[in-house]
Amino acid sequence: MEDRQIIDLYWQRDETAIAETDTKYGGFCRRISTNILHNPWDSEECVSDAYSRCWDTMPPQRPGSLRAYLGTILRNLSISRYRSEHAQKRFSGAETLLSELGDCVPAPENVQRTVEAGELAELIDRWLRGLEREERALFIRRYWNGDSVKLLAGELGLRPNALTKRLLRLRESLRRELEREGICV
Amino acid sequence: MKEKAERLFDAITLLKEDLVEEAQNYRFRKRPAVWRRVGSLAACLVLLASLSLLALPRGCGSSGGNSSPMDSADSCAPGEAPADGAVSGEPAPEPDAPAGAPEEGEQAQFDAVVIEACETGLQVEALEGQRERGLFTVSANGLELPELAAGDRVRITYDGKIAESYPAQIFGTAAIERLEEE
Repeated sequence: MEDRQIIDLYWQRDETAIAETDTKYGGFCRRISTNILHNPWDSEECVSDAYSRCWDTMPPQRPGSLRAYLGTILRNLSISRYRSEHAQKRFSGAETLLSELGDCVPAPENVQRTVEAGELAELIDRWLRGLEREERALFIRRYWNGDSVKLLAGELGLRPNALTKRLLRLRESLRRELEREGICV
Repeated sequence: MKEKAERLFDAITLLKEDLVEEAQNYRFRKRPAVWRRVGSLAACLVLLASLSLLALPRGCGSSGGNSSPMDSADSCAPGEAPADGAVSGEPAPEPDAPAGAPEEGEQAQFDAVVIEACETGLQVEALEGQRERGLFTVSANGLELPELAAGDRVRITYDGKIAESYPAQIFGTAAIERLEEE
């Protein structure tokens, strides 16, 4: 079923919308959440919560891409769960992603101003659009989807070490861009 | 540092839908494994070496003797073979079978369509129903070629020897005739 038809079901308050969403994007949703939480039970709960959130927000929302919309909800739900529980328990998925993203934070002496997440997203958006398509896809698959280095290396036909270096160069490029803009995260 | 990384994580979550969607649909171009790349290179080198040997004139590494029709031992540099069978300006005289003067009974003939024509030879594709098949680079072998253009049909008479390369090469050309349209 096309995204538009599924979204119409939500707007018509037809409960089959959730089943159709799960049929089409269930695997994608579970992967996004599991990549952050590394716990299938917690991920499953996040996915159920994401479907409820879709039900609650459509209407009035009519996303252009249901997949991106679901993924954004799932990332928010999964990171919230991580934040609320990581004091007692460590999630290797989010830990790894956050530790890598820490490389992108500019050094304090170069920092001029602190920006909100929205403004930061705009800047990352602009930076991404200046990259080659493959580099852009790679960054998003790693840091938005949370896909593992091993999986991405397999798709690219590279050794994980080679991909790690490539990702490092991308993060350094983002850090330089943030520094150039005088951004404090 | 971790709080800052989390803010970056949050900012990445807010990326625009079109970027996210593009990344989901993007199919990475898979690079062949290093061993495969090295293997391919080695295979290419072996192929190149084999072709170079095939292109050597008889007497330059081969023992001479009778060649089979597919033997290219008395071939010259592709497409640039002078009438006397020289390679790189060095004549390679063959006492009993000089290039360009095929022995009796060894001549072969086939009809082909011209792909490209130049002063030194032709690139042709054999017509259906011929013994020869596929593409050939045919050396003019010192002959004066008729006026030819792509699409013209020609009858090629040669010494029966074809260098096994791609396209296959014929150096011992005895005649090239233009066939009239039927």
